[in-house]
Amino acid sequence: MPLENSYNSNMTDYVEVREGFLCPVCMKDLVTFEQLQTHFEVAHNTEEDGAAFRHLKELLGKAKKKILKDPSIDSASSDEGTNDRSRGGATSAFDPSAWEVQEFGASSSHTEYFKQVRDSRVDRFVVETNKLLLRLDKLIVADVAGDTAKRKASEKDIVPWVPDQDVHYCLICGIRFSLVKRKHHCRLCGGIICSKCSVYLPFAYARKLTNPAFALEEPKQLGVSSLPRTGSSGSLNSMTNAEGEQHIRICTECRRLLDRRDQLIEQRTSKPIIVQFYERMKVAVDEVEKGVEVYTEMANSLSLGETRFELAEAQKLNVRLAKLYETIDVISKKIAALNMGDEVAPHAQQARLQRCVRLYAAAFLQERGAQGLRGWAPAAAAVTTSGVDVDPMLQQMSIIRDYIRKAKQARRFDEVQMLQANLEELQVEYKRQQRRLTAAS
Amino acid sequence: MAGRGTAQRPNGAGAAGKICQFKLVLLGESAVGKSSLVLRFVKGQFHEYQESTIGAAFLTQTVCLDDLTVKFEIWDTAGQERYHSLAPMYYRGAQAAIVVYDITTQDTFSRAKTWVKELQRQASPNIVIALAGNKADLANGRMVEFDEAQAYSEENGLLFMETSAKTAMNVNDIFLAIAKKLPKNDQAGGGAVGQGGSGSRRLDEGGAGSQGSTGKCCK
Repeated sequence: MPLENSYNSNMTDYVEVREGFLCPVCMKDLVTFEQLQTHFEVAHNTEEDGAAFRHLKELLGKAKKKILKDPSIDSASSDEGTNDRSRGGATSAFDPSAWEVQEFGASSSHTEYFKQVRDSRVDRFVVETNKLLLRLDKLIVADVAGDTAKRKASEKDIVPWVPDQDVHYCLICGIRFSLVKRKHHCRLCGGIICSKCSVYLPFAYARKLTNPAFALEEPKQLGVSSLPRTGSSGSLNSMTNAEGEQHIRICTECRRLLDRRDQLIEQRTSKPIIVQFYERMKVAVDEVEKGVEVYTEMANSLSLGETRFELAEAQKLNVRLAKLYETIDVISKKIAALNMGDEVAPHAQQARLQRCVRLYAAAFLQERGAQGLRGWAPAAAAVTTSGVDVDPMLQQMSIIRDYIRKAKQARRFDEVQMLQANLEELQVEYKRQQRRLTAAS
Repeated sequence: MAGRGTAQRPNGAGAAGKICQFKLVLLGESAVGKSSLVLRFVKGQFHEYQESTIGAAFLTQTVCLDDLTVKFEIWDTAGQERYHSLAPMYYRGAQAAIVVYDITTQDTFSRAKTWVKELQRQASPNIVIALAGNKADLANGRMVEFDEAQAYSEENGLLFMETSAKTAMNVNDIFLAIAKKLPKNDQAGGGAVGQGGSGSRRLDEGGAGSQGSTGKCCK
């Protein structure tokens, strides 16, 4: 505090700035808080001062009431001796139970404004990026590799460079250029930046940007070489990197715009994993649709005894369908389980989509009667046990015949074959048994 | 039709597209729950009052192992003595057998043991035999100790599980365990004991299912 006092005494000539425990009435510096308090109570406890103080308090009370929409505000303001009342009102205002429910105030939508701002911003980005891309296209087409002077000239021709003498500070980081901090020109905007604020843009990456189809031809991982290199603008190594791949120096600002563009392209062209899965599933579904049609035709024709199709063909198709059903089942299950095990659970909408895909697949399988993967049994044979002493072998044969009939009805031709095989076996066995019996007797 | 099979399957869709088919037979004393076990496995159902099987019932079920599909051709034989003569016809060409007993009846376990002996003697030497102690939900009335059956199974190289068709306990598991144990790359099954013995067949082959080609699976 003494320091402030001395400061005050020295500086009063210049500015009217005083600090410390000053009395608000007489502007006297009281050094400590306690002293100020006692001074105020003793020296200014006069009638006028008291009135001024009360007036101040009353004003505050009114403001509070106004905020809380106290209806007594008008009457209170007209009354001059409301000191006590206003004070009482103030205290009641702090009782939360006395507060009224606040109404929802006026609101206004800023969406339009936001859109406007965003659009202009996006527009700016788009225009800027397009300009850069046009320049980039020209730059990488101008094929004068090797000849540094020519190349520099053509680069300057495409993008006007900011003159060296005009710039003393890096455009991006603001560092002062010197003998050690060299100036570099961004080949895209022509601005002068320091080495730290510049990056090399490989031609491959540039081609990917200017011609998205190029990226498909060359699936190699492309990216901007992150190693900024010093070296004079004319030297060869500012044009090619260690691998001899061509590149140009650009500033990080242009790089940011280009990366944005790259991301957009990527987003537009690449499909999320769920889409990839779904497409695969859809292919299987379409194939099933077609296959089932053919299969039904085959089955009908076969059961009519026509020779247009072979049984083996139909069987093959049946197996293929079973496989497709399984594929659909597996893929849809995968979709349903996508990201479910992750720490970050998928978004509710995403989860719902996944669930729906699975449900669709399940419904499809059910509708198409994909019993290929489910168990099957011929309906219980209504065995006419015409006497308990019927040879079990004969009994079984009739059971199997019944099964075969039912399997045929259900168009389960591979099962028919199995059953047929079994029937033959039974017949052979039965004959042998009979022969043995006759031989014995 | 030509470009069918593995080539068309999307990569990594969980299956290399092989379908193996195996003949499986269920054996055991009557009323131990063979049909219930199969019904549970094939249709996921359970009937409290399952009628007794006449002759042999036929069912199929497909299970998916890691990269191949195993189709079981299941023959559920009747347990009654008068149908005993049919059983050899079914276990002869089988690649797998489940011998079922009822854990609440000691006799059924003894009968199971005779079945196992018969299989070891008469069935294909490569047959995979599983022993199922069914009705595990009735553990209160247990007469056959788990350890006893386990020890017996180890001795005889059988797969062993206590199952319950009623609660579905271990039902799918035992079939899956069999599917895993079945040989899938070599001359599977070797079901050539009987003349009609059809080994496991590879279905996605042109001449699939022709009776002559036994035991060429998933090559």
